[in-house]
Amino acid sequence: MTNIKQLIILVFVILGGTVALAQDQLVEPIEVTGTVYDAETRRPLEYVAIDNDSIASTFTDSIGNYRIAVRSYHDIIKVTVFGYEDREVILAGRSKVDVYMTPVGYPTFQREANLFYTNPKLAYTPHAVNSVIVNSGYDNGGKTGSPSGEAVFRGRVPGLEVLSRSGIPGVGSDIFLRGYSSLYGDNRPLMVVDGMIYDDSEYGTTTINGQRKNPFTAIDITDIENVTILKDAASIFGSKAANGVIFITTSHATEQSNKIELNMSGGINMEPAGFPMMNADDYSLFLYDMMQSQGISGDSISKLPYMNGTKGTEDYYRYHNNTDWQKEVFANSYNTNVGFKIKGGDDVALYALSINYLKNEGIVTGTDFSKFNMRFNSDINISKVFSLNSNVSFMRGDQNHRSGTSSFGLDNPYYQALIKAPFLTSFVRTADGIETPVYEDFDVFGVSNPSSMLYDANGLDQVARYYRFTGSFNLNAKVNDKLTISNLVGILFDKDRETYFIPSLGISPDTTDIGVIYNKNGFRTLKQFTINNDFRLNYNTTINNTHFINGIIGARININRAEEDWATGANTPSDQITSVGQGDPLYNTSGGFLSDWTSITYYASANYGFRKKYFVSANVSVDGASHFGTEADGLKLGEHIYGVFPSVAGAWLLSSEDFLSDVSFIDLLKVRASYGLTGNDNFGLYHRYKYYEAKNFLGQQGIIRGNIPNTGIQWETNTKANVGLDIELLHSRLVISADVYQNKTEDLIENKVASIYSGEENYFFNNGSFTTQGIDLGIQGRVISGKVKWDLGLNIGSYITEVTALHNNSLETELYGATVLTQVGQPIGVFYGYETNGVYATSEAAANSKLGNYLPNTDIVPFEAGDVIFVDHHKDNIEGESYTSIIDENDRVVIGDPAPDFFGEVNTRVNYKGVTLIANVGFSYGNDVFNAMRYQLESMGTYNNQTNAVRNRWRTEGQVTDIPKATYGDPMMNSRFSDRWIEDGSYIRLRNITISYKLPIRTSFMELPEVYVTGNNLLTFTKYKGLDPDFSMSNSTLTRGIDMGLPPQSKAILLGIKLKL
Amino acid sequence: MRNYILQIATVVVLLLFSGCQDAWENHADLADSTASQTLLETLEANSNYSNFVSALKTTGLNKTLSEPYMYTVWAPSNDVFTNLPDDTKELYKLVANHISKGATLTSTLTDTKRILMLSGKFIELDGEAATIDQIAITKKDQAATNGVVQFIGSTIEPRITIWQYIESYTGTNKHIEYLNSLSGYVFDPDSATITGYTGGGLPIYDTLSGMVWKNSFLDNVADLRSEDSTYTLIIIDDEAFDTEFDTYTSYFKITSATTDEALALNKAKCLFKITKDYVFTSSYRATEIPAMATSVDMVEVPVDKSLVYDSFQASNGWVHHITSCAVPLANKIQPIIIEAETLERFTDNFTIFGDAIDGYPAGYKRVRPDASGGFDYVLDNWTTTAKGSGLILHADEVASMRYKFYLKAVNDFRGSYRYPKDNDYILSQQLGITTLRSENNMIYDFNPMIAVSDSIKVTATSYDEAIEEEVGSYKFTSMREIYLWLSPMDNGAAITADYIKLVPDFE
Repeated sequence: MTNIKQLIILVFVILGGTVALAQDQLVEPIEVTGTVYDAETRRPLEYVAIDNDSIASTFTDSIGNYRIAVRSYHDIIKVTVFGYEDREVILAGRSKVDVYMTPVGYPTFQREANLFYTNPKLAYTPHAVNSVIVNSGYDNGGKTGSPSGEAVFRGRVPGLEVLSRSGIPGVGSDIFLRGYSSLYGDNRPLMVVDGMIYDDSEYGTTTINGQRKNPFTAIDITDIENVTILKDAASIFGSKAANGVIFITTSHATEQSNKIELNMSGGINMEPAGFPMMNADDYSLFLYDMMQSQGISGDSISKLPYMNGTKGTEDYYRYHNNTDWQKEVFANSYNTNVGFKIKGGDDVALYALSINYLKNEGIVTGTDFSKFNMRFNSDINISKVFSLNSNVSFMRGDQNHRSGTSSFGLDNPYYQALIKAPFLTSFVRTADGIETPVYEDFDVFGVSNPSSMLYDANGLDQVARYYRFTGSFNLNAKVNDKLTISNLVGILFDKDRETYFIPSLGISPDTTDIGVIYNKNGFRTLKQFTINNDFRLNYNTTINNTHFINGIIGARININRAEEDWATGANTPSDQITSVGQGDPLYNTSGGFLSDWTSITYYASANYGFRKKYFVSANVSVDGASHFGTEADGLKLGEHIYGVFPSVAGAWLLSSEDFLSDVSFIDLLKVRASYGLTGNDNFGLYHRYKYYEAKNFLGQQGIIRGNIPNTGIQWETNTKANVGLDIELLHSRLVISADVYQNKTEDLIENKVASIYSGEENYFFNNGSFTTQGIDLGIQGRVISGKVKWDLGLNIGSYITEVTALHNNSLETELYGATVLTQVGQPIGVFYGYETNGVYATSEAAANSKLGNYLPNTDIVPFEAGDVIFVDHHKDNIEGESYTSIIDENDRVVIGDPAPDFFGEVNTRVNYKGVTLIANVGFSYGNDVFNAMRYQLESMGTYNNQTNAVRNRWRTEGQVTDIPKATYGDPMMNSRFSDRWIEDGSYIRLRNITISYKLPIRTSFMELPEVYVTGNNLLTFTKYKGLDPDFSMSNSTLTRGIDMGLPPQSKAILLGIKLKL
Repeated sequence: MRNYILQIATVVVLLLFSGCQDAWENHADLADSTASQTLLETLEANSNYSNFVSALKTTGLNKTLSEPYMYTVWAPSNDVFTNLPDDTKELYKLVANHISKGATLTSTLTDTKRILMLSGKFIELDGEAATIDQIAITKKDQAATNGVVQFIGSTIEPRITIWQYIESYTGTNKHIEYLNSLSGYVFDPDSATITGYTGGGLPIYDTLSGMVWKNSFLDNVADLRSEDSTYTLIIIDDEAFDTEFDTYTSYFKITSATTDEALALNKAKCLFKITKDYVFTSSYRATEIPAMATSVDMVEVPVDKSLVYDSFQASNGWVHHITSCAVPLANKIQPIIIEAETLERFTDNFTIFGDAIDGYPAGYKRVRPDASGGFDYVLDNWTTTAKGSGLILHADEVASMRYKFYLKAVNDFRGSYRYPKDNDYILSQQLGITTLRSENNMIYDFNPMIAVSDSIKVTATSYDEAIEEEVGSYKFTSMREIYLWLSPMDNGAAITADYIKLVPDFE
């Protein structure tokens, strides 16, 4: 707390000092002259409005020249013209100033940051802020056909990682800004859409594998106008801003004339190549090896119907095919997008209505996502004092899944297709080899039939439906020129409904404790209702065109309610009967939760600028929430504990100084620094309360204690320090923004295994800490200007994390076969396992290693030829045995770090007359991936089909290979979590490429119609062997880099047309 | 400008078509020939084995070696793979004798096992000596995609079976002649074609088509033709054969009649009983035969292996000629123990010489941990104190000789008025024998009892006190299946027994 006091004192000292400096006197009118040019074409611009703080205003003449009166050569003149970013020119002692105007969308610090409560120019903000104007001519976001809004800023901001959750259409992305801030809490940045906090959390537990609730589908990409990302501590969002804030502004009408826009596109998603799985012959040989390893004699094996090439046996045709099962599952599919927008109004009301429909089919047959969006934004001037902005949107989405209930489950057709014996086929074949239209059931190995699951009329059925309604109403009262009072009321209503039916046909029955399950069904609904109220006073004043003062105080209340209800059943009388409740009552289960929580934030912000040279900003918020413990370490007001989050920032705009104003190639040069506290309040709502949970015990319902309450539980504190440099050179031809930052999370929420006497598993408490240090760099430049214009941009981010404190100093988390280590002194969430060094080629080599293999049953057995060579990092010095050291868990080391060394995007735009090419090339370097799917496909422990790599399995003495021998059950644990499964996940991907052409059809009622071709994910360069190096399992630090092998993002080509009336 | 666009387009197109599967190239591509060549390709690549390859092609076995199933090829080189039969069938047999199913690795093998070749023959692989059928493996474990090649130093000639040896034996030997004499054609309705039906609906067979070759020794003792079992057959010389016959002829009489037919039957029975005990289930080399070998009929046979003067290795074992190998009487004719709780017992489902039985017997199989077999048996007339007919048990075939009869019985009917400690009651019963006259609808009609014992008092009241008691003896004049009869005596209405034992009395 003493820190905060010192900060506040410091702020006042700076403010006081600068006010005292404001000593300019009015002098006789003097003039400034110059020419206004288009920064791109270097042609003079006519009719450009020039304004000097309402003292004087003028327009440029036909050759772009202007002449305007100023009070002193330290005035600031505003230059505005339609189609260009407003530009403020700081005279800084100059009497002749040429102005280069940049078109809207062109990267420049003259853009505004849409922070909702204040919209400063990027040139003047002391914070680390990026603003992205989308759906302009400089960007192809709206043309990618993405169903999810976040696609428009993927790769556009240094330090922002937007990782696709999978290629399942509509599931969206996980977003990380400058790495992580939490272990068990949330790592997603706060979303503010049109001023309202936009909840994008996923509540409850989905019942469909690969399903992720994606609230970004409720924002159509073509409706987004501006995305502003606040990366450092602004504190105004207090305990919600530990991961930064993303402000999204949807399109509003800016002029009174009616504008109608039509956008249509459609295209094809290309079937992916899939994994190189073994064909029927290779698989038969593998199966033979597997069976031999079980001690089954060659004679017995050859009597099996699939191990016998003799025609004429009854099952010959059933077992002698060569099916590429992945081809049965994957298929080309189609995309359709239709959008319609109408904007217009009069001087009282401006409105913008947009309606969009989209259907995006998945590459797994039968999967698709379709949605309908509607958005109505209006700006109404009720009177001179009152005005109202309203933003209303509605979305309905339908998602058809075909991915079962678990990644490696019997009901997941894609996984079953990978492991299914290729000598089998989809349909029953008669003894004469005639294919009948009857689907095969699950096979002799217990593997399901993917085709029947996908194509049968009573096949797999998994549907997720969403509805989201948002409405925000911002009423402004402009008391006078300086003071505005605003109140925003926002509501958000969500309803998600999932239903599924897993049929019996084609799927192996599942044996459970209470019986055998043949078919399964279930549903789940989630309802969410949120009310936001944000009341604030905004005071703006300028003294003598020298002192720029802005003050904001406000209070924000956030009231939430979520309810989940689910029910599952099993064993309905037949696959035609799919509803829950029609199954065997023995298997009926149901449950749900109801939760309420509330938070309140009091905030204040003070911003001061001196002659647009020096900028100081101080912010503070006081945050309370219903889930903060009553004994938390914070400010006690009344009965509640509040967190206090102050921050301070300063900037020096060197280019506004006289000594730099004459350097004509520098448009802007700014250094800035910020320091402050934010928090993370998204860590679980009920750790402070004592609660009970329903439990089913032998058919009897009862309740049991659900947790150990911690009344001291509180927000995680995130301290952010940032130093940045903004440069704009050569009349906006080169724009550079660089940041160095350090974020430190303290009071990290940790989860320890509770004492067994408590009867509970977990106990949550605030304890650990870790730091993130990083660099962000964004460079945008125009390489060629002229008839052919070539823009090139690079956004690159890099960070490293280090755990500095943790309960017991170390945490191991077992996830999907991986061991994730979080340990003091290490980056957060690294892979921890065995290092390998090939395979023992000979028995002699195995014996010479003098290593024993410590097995789970505590036996120690020597390694044999064909076993993996595990590196013995921990020497055990055993005497009197055939081995001198053993391989056990002490030999594990860090084998990979899922965080990239650096990541980002290169974007480019080439324009020649009406033809524009825009391409985005994303990259990530140095991130390690645990390829959990390949681990499944090369472990060689079962009869499952494996990849072609296992053809190189060790089979004979002396064979040098890196694939161990095939042994049923893998008794030597050759497939244990080791660097065999860790891969370099670096990649370079041509994410989008769009070529658009403005048809030279000139009509009076329409702008030039634009046709375009977009390619998504056409090219990927990677050494990663999974289907897609760009994936994210969840927004947790612990699952980073674990690839469960969900369907990859598809290569897609779209054709579209855009009409503007 | 055009050029630029063209160049850029070319680069883009090239990039599009350049493989994006690079990541898998090093990982999944075949690393070496171990993983890329089939067995046939491996053999073809080695010119020193071209004779074998051409024989594979002649016989069509080359296709087998390209199948996606594991095989092991025991490949002889050109210089030893000679003298090939011209007949393709014979050649097939020979070549197929060099291919086995499954990949057999020999470099780490230390034990001995029998490998089944595609010829149907089992061949012995000695892991320690690295030989197959005593042929040295010159180069071990050459792996191919679908199996392993073992290069060997000689051709593996297909061996004949023990039975083929017996059939093709050209010398004179009574033992072998006897075995061959058991062969013949028998009518088998299942394999006969039906030419029509009688008025009564019964099928009329084409008898010629229904005749099948059978040998009762192979059917009843051991199938010496079988390739997948191993046997040792001892052939005794004529002199020993006659000696054995003389020893056993009186014990294995089916009938005491002296007609020629009767004598022939008796002789056949006796010879069968003698020869059945010269077959052993293990494959013994002459030097390996144990001093006391157990025959397939579980009879202990003392063998003096020094008397073996000729041996033949067949594909399924060994045949040893021996000058003498007498089986002691006591080994061959063993005591017969009949557990009272045996399933083949008759309590109320029989008649005696056509007359209904007495009493209303109820039988109990009782758990008695100390009893032989863990159970004993009680038959009781609970509803009446009347004396019943008793219990009849099926016994095995007895030899034509005297047997002593033993009985073990305990009266532990605690709580019953028949319990001697409570009521001074002594249960008494009588043991006899009978034979089955006829059976009709599960009702068995027995001849009247021939008593073997007098009244037997069951005095033991617990298994601690119970003893095996000799109750009488009986001399059987012919071999036959007999039934033992335990009948209540005096006014006792119950009988009980743990077991009855018949011990041969060689006098």
